Amino acid sequence: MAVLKTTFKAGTLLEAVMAMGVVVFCIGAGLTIYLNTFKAFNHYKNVKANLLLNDIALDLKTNHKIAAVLMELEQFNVNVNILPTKYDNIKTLQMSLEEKGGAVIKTRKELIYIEDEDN
Amino acid sequence: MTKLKASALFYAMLIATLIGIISGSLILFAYLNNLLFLNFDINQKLLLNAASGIEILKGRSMDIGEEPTKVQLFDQEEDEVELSIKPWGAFEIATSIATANRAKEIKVAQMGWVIKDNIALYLTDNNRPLALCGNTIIKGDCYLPKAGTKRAYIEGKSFVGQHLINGNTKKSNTKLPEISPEFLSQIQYYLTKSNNQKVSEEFPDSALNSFSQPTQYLISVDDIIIDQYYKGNVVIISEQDIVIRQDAVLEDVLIYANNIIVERHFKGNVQLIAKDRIKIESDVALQYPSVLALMAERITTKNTIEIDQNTNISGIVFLNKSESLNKELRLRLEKNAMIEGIVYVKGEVELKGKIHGTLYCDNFHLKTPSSIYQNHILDGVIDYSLLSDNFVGSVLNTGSNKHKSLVKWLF
Repeated sequence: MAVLKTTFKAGTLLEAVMAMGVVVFCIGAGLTIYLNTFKAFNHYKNVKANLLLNDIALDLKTNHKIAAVLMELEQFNVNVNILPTKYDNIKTLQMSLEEKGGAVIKTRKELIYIEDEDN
Repeated sequence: MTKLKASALFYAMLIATLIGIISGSLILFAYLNNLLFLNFDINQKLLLNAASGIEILKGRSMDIGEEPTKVQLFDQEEDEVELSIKPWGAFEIATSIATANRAKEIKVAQMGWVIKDNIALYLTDNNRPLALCGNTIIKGDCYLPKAGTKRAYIEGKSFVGQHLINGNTKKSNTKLPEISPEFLSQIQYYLTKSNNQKVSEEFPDSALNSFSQPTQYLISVDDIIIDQYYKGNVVIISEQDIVIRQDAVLEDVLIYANNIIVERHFKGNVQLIAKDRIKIESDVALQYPSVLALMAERITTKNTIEIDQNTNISGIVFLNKSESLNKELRLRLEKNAMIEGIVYVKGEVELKGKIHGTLYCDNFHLKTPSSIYQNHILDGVIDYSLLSDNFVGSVLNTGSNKHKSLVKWLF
């Protein structure tokens, strides 16, 4: 009868379970990070849209060019609308930044005081 | 027999811990990043809502007072702001607060009336013509006495211009347009309110107070010398006199006293309200929006505002007296001194400097080494065309051609 003299290193069941746990955890963490990064990319787009709309609104207000208009930019379209409110001489300046395909990226709303035309 | 050490669990645990720490920190980073963007979005919306509140206050389509009033911004939406408005000397402070969950944005603005009427001069009709001599320039529409204008020859100088008045002329009344009682009580508001405040035991070296906080009163029964830093929502009141040294740093504050003296080379932005006299020494710069107001209630040796040479004032200057006071008030504007804005004088003006804006007065006073003349101007300038289009501020909030506008954003 042959006698095994060599001892092989082997994992226990517990060790196997732990190793599987590590793998599952790594996959989970990786997926979360990936999803968050993807979301963050959308956030960046949102911030960019916000800043662009702020710039356009400031320009419209400074130059007193408040009127409904569709601006066609290189990558986006900006839709400007002037809506009535319940307050005298106050209008809602509503702007939306849209992709060329038509999907709305960001909408911005604010109230503005408009002097009487005879003033 | 060789015995091998099987420490796979130990290694697995070690690696798991390391991966856990790295992954955990990455997840935390991603979470905080997400939170930052979400907060940015919320803050942007709140800032827009707060600014929209200020726009509503410009329109004044509703009664808003010192107590915050909740106002819905857009139809069928939950966005709302808390609006309040309080007097601040010749101007008003508008506050708009937008909140969402625990986030809050506050916008505070100084506002005033805008009246675009192109009036350079309103001179009460006292049955005397307005006589001009030397290099006098009057540019803009004028309300003048029935007797009109004439050229005069004083101190070896005759009138050198082509036209006496560069603008349209209309007939003035025997009285100046009245300052509205609301404006006068607005000017005195903090003086009246200070009766309930304690006199400061020790007058602080400096004070800084936000307009989103309650007003800070610094009251003294004695004379005050101001040579330190005072900024914001601060009212300084002396029952005697106040001297402002050139080293003082003043921004947006209100100052009440019997007599106020501003020493040479002072620069700042301040509203000075006196009962008896204001003296602004030479080379002073009172930046926009500054106010000099003399509210005379009793006869003293000098019921005047004196503005010395090379001094520039941008804002509102006015001298007003109660009906019962039987004494002429006087504004003296020395050579090379300039006021940009609105000047209202219930009394006489000694005009040697320049006014870029509008002057309302009862008559002119000219004193030369040899004589004293009534309704004469020598080398004075009143030019409405040089008043900035962005100027906001008026003592007369009457007329149809008026609206509220923003003077500046405050902290």
